[in-house]
Amino acid sequence: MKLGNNLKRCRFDHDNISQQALANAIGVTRLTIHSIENGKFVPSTLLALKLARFFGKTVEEIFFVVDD
Amino acid sequence: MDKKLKISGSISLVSGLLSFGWLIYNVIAYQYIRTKITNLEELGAIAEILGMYIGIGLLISFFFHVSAFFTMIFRFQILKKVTGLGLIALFMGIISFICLIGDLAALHDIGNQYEAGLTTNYEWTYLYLALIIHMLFYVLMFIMLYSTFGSVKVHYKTESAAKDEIIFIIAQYVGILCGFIGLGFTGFIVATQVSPQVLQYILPFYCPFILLPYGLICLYWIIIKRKERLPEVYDEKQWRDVSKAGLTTLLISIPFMAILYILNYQKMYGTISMIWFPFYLFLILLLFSGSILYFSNRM
Repeated sequence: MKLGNNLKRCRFDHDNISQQALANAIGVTRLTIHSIENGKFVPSTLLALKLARFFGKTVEEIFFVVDD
Repeated sequence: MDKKLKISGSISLVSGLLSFGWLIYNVIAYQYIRTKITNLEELGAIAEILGMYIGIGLLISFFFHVSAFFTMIFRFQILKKVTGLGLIALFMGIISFICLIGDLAALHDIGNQYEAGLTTNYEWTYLYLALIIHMLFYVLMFIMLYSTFGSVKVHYKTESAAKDEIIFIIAQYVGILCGFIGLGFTGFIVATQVSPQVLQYILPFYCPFILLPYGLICLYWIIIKRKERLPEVYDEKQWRDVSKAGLTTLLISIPFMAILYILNYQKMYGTISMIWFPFYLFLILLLFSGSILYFSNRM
């Protein structure tokens, strides 16, 4: 099982906010946002909640489980 | 353009032009002194004056290397990307900087060997090779300065990062190079079987000098972290990369240190009892920085 996400779409829906602007708002580096979007990095619960709060969505709306 | 980049760039340009002139002067002075020494002629007062000016030139060159180092770091920070040319210039700068202490040592050796009536061919070969390295770096740095003053204004309009990532990455590149050079030099000491009597004078100088570029970038990174005023020094991914790199370093360094311990136990080389710590230091620096870079790019 892997963790999928709609982060790129959320950014697009949110005035096409850049990775850097999102990273600044959340308090992480741009590389972290980039790695989450590409599925290379699984964020902690805290970071997932921060992202959900930023976009005004639930965690499940952004992150989901992908079965192998 | 960023104020600190403008200041450091201007300092680098002035000190670079000055020390480039000195580099040309060194070529002439080396040739003059070498001819005298090779023909076993009296050096006289003029050679002493030439030697003094070479010393002043080395000091200015040292100053230029430090200011150029910071100019490149500031440039990376503003451009927010690691360019190939920038990385080559940074690597050449560090190699050229480390060669400066070699220049000093070679000049010192030439003086001693001349007085003892011994040959100085190796030292002169080194000095001329180091001159080529210095020249290459100066040319690269002038290209960098030209592009810095010319194009950074455009890139500077990009968004600023609240949490640094570029200096963190550059520090790993610097760590890899410093670790690699340090290991190479330590290997050279073992291969040439430098006596422990000589080593006790070399060790206190070469280790700190090779580690200085890494120390400087780490110091700058700490300053950035203090300015960020964020609760966490690293972000989540950086923490994970650093943790994985720590474990990788531990696992890889143990067999290396075991081999060194066995060599020392059997007393195959007398020098190993003195160089085990620099070897360990440079090895873990190379492994740690290399693994962080690997994990931050790949995972």
